[in-house]
Amino acid sequence: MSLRFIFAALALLSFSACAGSISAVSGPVEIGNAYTVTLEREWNLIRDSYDGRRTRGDRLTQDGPALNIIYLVGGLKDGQYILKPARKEFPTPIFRSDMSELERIEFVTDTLAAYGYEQVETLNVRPETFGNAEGVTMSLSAVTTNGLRLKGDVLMTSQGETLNYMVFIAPEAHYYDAYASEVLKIFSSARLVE
Amino acid sequence: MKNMPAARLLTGFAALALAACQTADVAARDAGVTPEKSTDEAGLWMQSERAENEVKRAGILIHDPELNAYVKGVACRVAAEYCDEVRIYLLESTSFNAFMMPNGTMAVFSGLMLRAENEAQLATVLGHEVGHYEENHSLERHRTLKRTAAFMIAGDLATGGLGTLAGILSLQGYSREHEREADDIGFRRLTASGYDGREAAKIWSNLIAESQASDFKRKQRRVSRSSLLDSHPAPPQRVETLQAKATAHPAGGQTEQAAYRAHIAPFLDDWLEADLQARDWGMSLHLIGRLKQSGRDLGVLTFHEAEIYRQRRETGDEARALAAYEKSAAYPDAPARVWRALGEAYRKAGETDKARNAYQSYLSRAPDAPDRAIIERTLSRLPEAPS
Repeated sequence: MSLRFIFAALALLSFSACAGSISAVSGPVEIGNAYTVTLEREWNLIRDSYDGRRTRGDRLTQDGPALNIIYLVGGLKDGQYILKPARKEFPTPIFRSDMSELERIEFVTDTLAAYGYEQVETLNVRPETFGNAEGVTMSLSAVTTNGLRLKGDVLMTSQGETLNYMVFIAPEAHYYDAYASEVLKIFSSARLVE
Repeated sequence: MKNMPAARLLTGFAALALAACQTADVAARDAGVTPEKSTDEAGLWMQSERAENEVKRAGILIHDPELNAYVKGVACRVAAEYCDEVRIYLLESTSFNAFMMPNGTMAVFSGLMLRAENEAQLATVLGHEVGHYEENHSLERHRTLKRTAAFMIAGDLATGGLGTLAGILSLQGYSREHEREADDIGFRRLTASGYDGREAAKIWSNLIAESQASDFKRKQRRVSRSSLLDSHPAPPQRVETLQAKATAHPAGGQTEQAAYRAHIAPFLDDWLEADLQARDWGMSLHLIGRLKQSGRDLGVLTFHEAEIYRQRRETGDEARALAAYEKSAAYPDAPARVWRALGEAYRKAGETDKARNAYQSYLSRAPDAPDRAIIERTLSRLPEAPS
């Protein structure tokens, strides 16, 4: 057993840790100059970084990222990642504009795995509108390394060569059910920026 | 922990590593004996029990009773006298790793099971871990560290909200002597239980070769995806020592490859999918190439080879992926996802009829496919073949 493994264990145990600039937001919020969502009450908006790593997109939470979180990504371009690799030899998924619809779904779930979610699975993947655009929605299941079971929902669409998506994820016990209907309303409020 | 400067963290672990070079000798453990309550060993057991509870709750625990019973059987074969006290936990993690705690908790990672070619190679690692357990190396390390300032730093880190598991694992950064002793015991147990001793060196040399195939120079320079080989002595020396032992030992013994591969076959698809998440295409291709040499599980292995080409996107990879998907589809164990991938590849290549057939084949093979609605939409939009 090596010290490297200890570092890995520490990283796993600090999975729920989060950092970045935090502000309270409500009403319409613009995501990546690509779309807006409307929040009917205040949410905590986290920007810029995740555990000191640069990220693209914004995150919304009510009770803390480990208890409920919405990842909002707008206008993701060819060659961009969501989560900057901690080191060159640990690459994270990169978006390619020529990805098929299924590859885009794979990109979203692989990015969740890069955040540290385990056993990410998609369920009931189906067509849905994102604003006025054609999109895809699906349910998610995952677990954290310490065994917490998670549920979630995704809504995504492509706009030209860019990708927009929203992911809600929360513990199956209490938190998912407590917020799911409000989050789905937020998803439905999405309007693409012309 | 969040506010702990990285330099302090590194200093703490550096001190811990230095302290590990000194050892406090402890007698080997007798089977079935639990420590007296008043001893420091009892304290270590208490920590191990708490850590074991963390392992039990881990989201990455593999619950499959058949695989658990099989791995427990291998552990009992190499360590019969400890069979009743060893509790095995299989963890789904791409790391090539296994560890054993002082109270008999043994964790075996899927990254190790994926890379072992046969039962003898798995038994090599389990025997090595039992070697640490038999010789009470954790207790030796605990006593050694207790005498040093490093222990105070390590204790501070380990109790700073990081969980008992991290604390107990910090006792397992074994010294060169400990690792050598565990290798000796592991080899003795391997051969005494009827396994082929030549497999002991092979599992390590395979791992070294896989690291050298990495896309990244830093990984090529060290043995990646392994915590076991990061310790002293250096991996090539370890391989040489084990090869020399095998040469000196009478030839023969079992590898139990068929039984091993049959037991891991149901998990291969998931484990390879997880392995590809590391996005080190060189290492994953090397691993798949090596596993294919046995002639088993070719549908699953070839499918993931194709998946690597599809995701790697180098010149010629599109054609390589398509060829590998087609090859995979010809094997009886090909996962249904092969036909979905073929549909995608044919559609991209403008071969509409082939794409339609492949998508339809996917839906008939996976009637409950979670993406059925999307595939049906894709099918409805494929241009009709000219009449």
